[in-house]
Amino acid sequence: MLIPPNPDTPLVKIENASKCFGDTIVLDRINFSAKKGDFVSLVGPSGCGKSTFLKLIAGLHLASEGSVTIDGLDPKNAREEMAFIFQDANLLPWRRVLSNVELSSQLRGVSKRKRQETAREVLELVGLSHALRHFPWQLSGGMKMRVSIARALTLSPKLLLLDEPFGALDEMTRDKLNEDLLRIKARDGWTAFFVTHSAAEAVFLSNQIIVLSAKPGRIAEVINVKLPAFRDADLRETSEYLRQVANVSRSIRKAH
Amino acid sequence: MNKLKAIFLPFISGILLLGIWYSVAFVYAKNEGYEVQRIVIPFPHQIVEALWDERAILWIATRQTAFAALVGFIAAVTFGYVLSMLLASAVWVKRSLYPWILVLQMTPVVVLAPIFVLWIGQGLPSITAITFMIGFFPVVANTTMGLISTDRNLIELFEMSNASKTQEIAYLRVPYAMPYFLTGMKIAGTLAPIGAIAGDLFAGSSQGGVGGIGFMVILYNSQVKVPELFATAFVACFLGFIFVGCVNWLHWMLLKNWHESVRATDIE
Ligand SMILES: Nc1ncnc2c1ncn2[C@@H]1O[C@H](COP(=O)(O)OP(=O)(O)OP(=O)(O)O)[C@@H](O)[C@H]1O
Ligand SMILES: [Mg+2]
Repeated sequence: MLIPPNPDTPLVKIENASKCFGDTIVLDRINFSAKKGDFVSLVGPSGCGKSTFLKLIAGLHLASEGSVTIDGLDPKNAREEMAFIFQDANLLPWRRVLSNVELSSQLRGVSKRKRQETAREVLELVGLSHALRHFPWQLSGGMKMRVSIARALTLSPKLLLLDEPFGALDEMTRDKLNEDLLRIKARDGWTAFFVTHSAAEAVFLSNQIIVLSAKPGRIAEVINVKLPAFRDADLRETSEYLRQVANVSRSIRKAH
Repeated sequence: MNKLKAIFLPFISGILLLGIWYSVAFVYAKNEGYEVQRIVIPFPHQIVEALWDERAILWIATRQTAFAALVGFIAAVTFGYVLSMLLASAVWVKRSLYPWILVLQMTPVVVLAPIFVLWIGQGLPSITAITFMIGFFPVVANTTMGLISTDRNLIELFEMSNASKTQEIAYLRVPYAMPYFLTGMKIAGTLAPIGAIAGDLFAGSSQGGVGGIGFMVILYNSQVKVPELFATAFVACFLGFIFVGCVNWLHWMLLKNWHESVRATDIE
C-alpha cells in the first residue's frame, strides 16, 4: 500500500461486539481498541468470558453482533499476523521440541531448511537450545510453555493472544517467564492480549487492563497502568507497583 | 535380582503344574487303566510324543492357519482404517452408517460362518473372510473413536495456522488416532488366530490332504486321538503368541517415544 499507515489507527478494533451461545449472552456489547504495541491484560471472575473474548479476536468464534477487525481485516483473514498461546502448552506429543516449534511454519508451507533455522532461533530466544530433541513429556511445565511461546513467535506475529499461559505454573517460574516475555516484546514489538487471574501479573506486563464483570460479560473498567515502559524484576519491589496491584485487585473484587 | 525372580518364579510354578498334572493323570490311570487315561488326561510326555509324531502334518496345518489369520488380519486392519477415515470425514456419514455397522458387529460371526461357506465355498476364502469379520470391528470402533475425539485445542491451533483439511488429517488427526488404532489392531491381532481356527471348524477342508488347525481338531477328535488334540492346542497357543507378540512389538515401536500407554509399561 502506498498510503503510510497512521500510527494511531488501532490494530485491534472491537465495536459493539456481543457473543451468545444459544440463549446465554456471554459477552455483551464490548467496545475496545488496542494500538500497535499495546499490552492489554484481561482479568475477571472465572467463566466471565475472557477466553471467549480472545477467541473473538482470533476469529475462532464469530461475533453474534457487532464487529471485530484486525488492521481493518476480518480476523479470519488476519491469521497470518496473529498467534494464539493456549493455557496448557498444547504441544503435539508425538513431535520433538524442534518440530513442534516448526509446526506453524510447516503448515504455511515454509521450506524445511528455512523453518528449522527460525525454529532454532526462537528456541534460543526462549532459552531452550539444549532441549531441541526432547519430547514434550520430558519437559517441565515451564519448559512446555516456553516451547509454546517459541512456536507462536516463529512467524513474527504482530498480535499475540495469550489465554492464561502461566496459570498452572509456580510463582517463581511465572515471574521469570513474565520478565522474558517483556524482553522479547521489547525486541519484536508485537501487540498482546493476555488473560490472567493474577492482578500482579497483569500490572507487571500491561499498559492497559480490562476488568470484565460476569453474567453477562461486560467491560467493568479499563485501567491504565502508569509504570515506566522498561520493566524488570526490580519493579516488583517498588511501592508504586504494589499500589497499582492493590488497586487492580480491588477492581476485580468489585466486578464480581 | 528382580530379573532373576522373573525367570525363576514362572519356572518353579511350571514344574509344580507339571507335577500336579502327572499325579492327577497317574491317579486316574490307577483307577481306570492306562488305555482310558491316555484318551482323557494324557501324560505330558505323551503329548510331546504326539507332537513329534505329527510334526509334519501339524506344521502344514499351522502354516495354513497362520496364512489365513495373516490375510484376514491385514484385510481387517486395512479396510477398518479406510472405513474409519470415511466415518470420521463427515458427521452425516457416521450417522447413516454406524448403526448398521453396530448391527453387523452384534451378529455373532459363528452364525454368519455357514452363510459365508454358502456364498464363497469351503476352504481358505471363507476362513479368511471369517477372520476378517472378527478383526474388522475392533479396528473400526477404536480408530473412529480416535479420529473424532481429537483435542479441541489442538484443532484450534491448526485453525489459527489456516491449516487445510488435508494438513489437519495428516499432521493432527492421524497421529492423534494412532494409539486408538493400535489398540484396535492389538485386539484384531489377538482374535485373528482364533478367528482362523474357528473359521476352519466351519469351512475347513483338506485341500491337498491337510487342513488348518481347526480341521485337525475335528479330525483328531473323530479319531479319539487325544494326545494329538492336546498337541494341536499347544501349536495353536504358540501361533497366538507369535501373532500377539508381533502386534505388540509394532505397537511399542510406533508409540514408544510419546504415548503414555507404552511409557507406563516401560517403567514397570
Ligand atoms: N463453545 C461454547 N458453547 C457454549 N458455551 C460456551 C462455549 N464456550 C464458552 N461457553 C460459556 O461461556 C462462558 C464464558 O466462557 P469462557 O471460557 O470465555 O470463560 P473464562 O472467563 O475464560 O473462564 P475461565 O477463567 O474459567 O477460563 C462460560 O459460562 C461457558 O460455559
Ligand atoms: Mg478461560
